[in-house]
Amino acid sequence: MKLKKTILISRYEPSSWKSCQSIVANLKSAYTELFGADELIHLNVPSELNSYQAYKIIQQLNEHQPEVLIWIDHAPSPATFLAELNRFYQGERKPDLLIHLFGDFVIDCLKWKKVEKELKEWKVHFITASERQLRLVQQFVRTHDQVSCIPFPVDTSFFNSSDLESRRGKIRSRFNVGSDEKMFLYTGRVSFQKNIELLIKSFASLEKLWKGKATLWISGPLDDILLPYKGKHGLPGSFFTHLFYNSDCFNGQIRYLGNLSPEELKDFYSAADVFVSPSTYNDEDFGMSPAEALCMGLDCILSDWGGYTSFKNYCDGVELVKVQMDEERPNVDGREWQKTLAKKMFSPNSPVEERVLRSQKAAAHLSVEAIAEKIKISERHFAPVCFTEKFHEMCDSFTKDKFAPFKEASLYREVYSVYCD
Amino acid sequence: MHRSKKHRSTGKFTVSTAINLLKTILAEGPTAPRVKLEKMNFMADYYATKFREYLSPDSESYKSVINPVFSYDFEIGAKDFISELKVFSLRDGVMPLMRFFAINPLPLTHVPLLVIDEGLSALVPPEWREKIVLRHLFVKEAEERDNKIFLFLSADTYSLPLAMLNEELEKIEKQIKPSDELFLFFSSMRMRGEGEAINDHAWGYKCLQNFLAKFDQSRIHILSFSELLKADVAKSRFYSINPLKFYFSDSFLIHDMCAKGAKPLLPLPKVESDVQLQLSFYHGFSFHQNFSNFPGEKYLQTQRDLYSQIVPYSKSRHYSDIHDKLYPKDFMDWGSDVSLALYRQSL
Repeated sequence: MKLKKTILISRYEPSSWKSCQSIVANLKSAYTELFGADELIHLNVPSELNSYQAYKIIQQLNEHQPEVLIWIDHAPSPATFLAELNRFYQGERKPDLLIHLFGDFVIDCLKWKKVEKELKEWKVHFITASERQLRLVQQFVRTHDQVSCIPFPVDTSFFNSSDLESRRGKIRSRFNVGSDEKMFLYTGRVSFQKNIELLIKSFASLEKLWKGKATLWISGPLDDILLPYKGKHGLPGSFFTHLFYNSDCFNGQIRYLGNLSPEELKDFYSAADVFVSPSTYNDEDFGMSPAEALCMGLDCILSDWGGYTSFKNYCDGVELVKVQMDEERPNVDGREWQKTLAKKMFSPNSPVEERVLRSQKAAAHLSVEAIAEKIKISERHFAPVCFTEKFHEMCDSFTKDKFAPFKEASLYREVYSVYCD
Repeated sequence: MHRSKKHRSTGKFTVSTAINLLKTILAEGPTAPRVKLEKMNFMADYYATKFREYLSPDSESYKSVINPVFSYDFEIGAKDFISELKVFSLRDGVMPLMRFFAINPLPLTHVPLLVIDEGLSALVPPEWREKIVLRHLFVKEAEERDNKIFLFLSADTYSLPLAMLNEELEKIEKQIKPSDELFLFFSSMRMRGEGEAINDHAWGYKCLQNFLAKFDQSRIHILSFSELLKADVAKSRFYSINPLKFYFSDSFLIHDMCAKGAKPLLPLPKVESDVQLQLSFYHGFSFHQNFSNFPGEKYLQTQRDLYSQIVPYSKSRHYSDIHDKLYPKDFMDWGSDVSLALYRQSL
């Protein structure tokens, strides 16, 4: 198969979102795997892209005359770049645009609307990271097959079970966790919409019955992003204050690890038995933490929400807990969550061999190499983009109140119900 | 100043009552008063807002059940409705606190419990002490640290005279290793007016010269606020160069760093107290009432002499008036002397 002349675009400086840093690096690796390092041209753009910078980058594009442009970063928004591309691109044939979408497609809808005219002049294909994000985006474009789904890759040369036993022993002995103790782990942003309160409360109530035989480890940066789409923002310290007064977050069996380096993260994935996340974050398009946990052979209890749902397809150690769309926001079914947690808590730990098998199975779906094989650019349908009425309705809501675009629960439900159907 | 000499109130409202009241408030947690602190911030007088901006980002708001505010945010003494919130933690430094007590020499019946920085306890008039609890910052023990040291430079020539900066640099030098990298943030220069910015640039330049004279240029990195917010500080150490606590005693930056896992470069003194409030997984305040002695008659006489010069925020007219009218030069000079005496423990 002859490969098309391809340019990969990401930004200079790494994202401030940790998961996006890994995603972009791993997507780069997947495309390099597919095309070979010599065939692929990388272009970097600044995160705050102005017209002049865009012009300079497009001059480079003009020199290369690529057939495909692939956008693999979440910022700057590819929509911002498109307007300038339309103005300055001088190639004989316009390249096809392959755009990996992140969770910010909805909140960036006005940026996309701004280039609606330009989008009709280029052939575009969008790639989502999960089946449910695919359904979310398909609501907004008329040509459904110009959107397809490929999960974000995981760096399985690092997140794998090769030295699982030694790392597990090291951490468990350092923190005095017995070999028969069940270790639950959450990694990711410690944020209101991630339902950390539910996680702590449900664990604390079960742990009382199982005294000293289970620990919950929480890692990740704490933030005060409450429900911005409803206009609810927290002052710094709001979410900690909420947790402190509403949950038993200083229970001796619940430990906060802070922000971990990749090496430390790997240690804790190795030491843990079950990865837990009841997140109903509205833009949970994928879930890099559960993806890495699966590649480390962990059992997972996840909310049946957004990108998390797809993980059931990649590994049999995944339990999904029902989510319902309530008046204010989506909520995990608390009873079912508690029941699933109890089932895992009181069952014996998986033997290492089983974890190794699970890890290999997940890697077969999520590794850089596996994703490189799934890309298959020539099989994707590239077409001009025409947005739907629903997209425009959503944009109107953002225009009306950009600080609380989903104040109307009905619109939120209409747009996001695909995340928990 | 001698910490061991405690002031004992003889009023109806005893010292232990204030601590007990605070204990009850901390145990209750966030309540739902009719007026929320977040909304009250919008009611701040124009010049109070401008002064807060002058001190930004140190003065950025943060949430806590003890309701952290600056006394000038809404002229705390002048509004009856504030009693709904039961407690305020005054983030004031020496100048705002001196101003507050000059305007309000006697406790106000509707003003609830106040919490102030323990280092400024000497400024609290005896009549107020039964309504005031002192706060002390604590930070959880440090685990292994990396080689990043974040240094925050505060406000202006009043808050950090260059001679004092040099003393601070000596302290820093003793704590760091040759492999440590210094990340410098001029913390209070973010939202100032043009005139102020020009003065600050000159002052900032002089500060930087002193830094360069002390430390090798290759290990100093100057950060913008957005770069600071994005920096990975979880295993770093930090030091806020605000020795006089001239304008503020409770900086947002310190809470932000502590909440992210950073640890103070210089060890904090330990205070034994069972009344504590966690502000993050890593840090919080403990509370006590070990007041230092009030300076006495000479201090009160100067306060009376300068009182007529103090203008409430709401009566000022121009941003540039802040130092001239709200803190007139004589008052500022007196504040400089007082803050220096407090620092040298010789008030």
